[in-house]
Amino acid sequence: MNKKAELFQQFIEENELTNLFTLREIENDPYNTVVFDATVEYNDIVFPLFVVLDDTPFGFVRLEIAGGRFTPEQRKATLDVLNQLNSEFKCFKHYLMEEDGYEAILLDVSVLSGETFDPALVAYTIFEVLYPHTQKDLTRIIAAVESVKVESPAEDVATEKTTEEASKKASKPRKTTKSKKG
Amino acid sequence: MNEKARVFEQFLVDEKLTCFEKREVGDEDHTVVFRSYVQTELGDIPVFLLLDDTIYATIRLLIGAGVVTKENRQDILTFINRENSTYKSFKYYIEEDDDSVYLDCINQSANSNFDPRLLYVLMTQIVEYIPGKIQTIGEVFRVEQLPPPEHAHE
Repeated sequence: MNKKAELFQQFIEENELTNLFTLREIENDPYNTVVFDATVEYNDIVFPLFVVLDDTPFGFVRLEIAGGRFTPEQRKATLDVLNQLNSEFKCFKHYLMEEDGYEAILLDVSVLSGETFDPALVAYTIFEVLYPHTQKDLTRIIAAVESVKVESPAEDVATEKTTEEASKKASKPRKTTKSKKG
Repeated sequence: MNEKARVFEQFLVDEKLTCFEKREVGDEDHTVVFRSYVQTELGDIPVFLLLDDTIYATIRLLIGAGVVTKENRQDILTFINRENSTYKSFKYYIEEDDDSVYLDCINQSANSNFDPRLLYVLMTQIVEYIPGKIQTIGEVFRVEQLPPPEHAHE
């Protein structure tokens, strides 16, 4: 296991947070990458969250916000709102990732470190910075996707799925901060 | 001056790096701005390192001051999303207030763990990344020269 992952594992053990994270070592990885899987909930929707640490200075926390296939109009509206969020919230990077015809809206927070790695700062980032963002601001992405009228029948299925998820999110506000076991 | 700025300034002295101008903003967070430039085929791009009392250190490049128009906006958004999904340590965004395109790299650290060398390495990586992208940036912005950066602010 890489040094930063060891320190983070030690930190979550000392602070009784191990029930929130599942450690996963990537086999045969030249950078000894370790992923700590977790989840964040909002309105009964579970967002996967990953803490990725390796031998390089470039660690990050990643949240998967939504996925599916977007119409060109939805993609345009999504890019607009992601840019607004990127401009407004300096330490978050929201982006749309395309792979094999599937698109995912992701949020990254960089956890850069040189000679010193501070696991408490990673925990602070997740619980005090990222978590409140998931409860307040991410609905703007859903609203942007929903606001687009879908006219292309070929893409209705994907859109309906996205809209259904969006409606579910919008209709059941919940204030609890429960995180699911990994 | 804030603690991180003091440490960074000492790093510059120790490493005999003279490519930065320092400016103290005089705000309540004791913000200090270290300013430099990236030279490109399309003109100089200002680079700012903002250090203050918070846990955040910001490396900011003003890639295109006032370049965003109705005509190029969508192409710019598509370009910056592609770059944002490719490179881990920084992000581009359009600032609506001044129709400009910025690139930010944010580093979080407590004063006790602040590492000036890491910031300098990150800045160097960005400075080395820009020349390979500048032609695409010019095409996406639809400009042959970037706006002069003399009056740019962070």
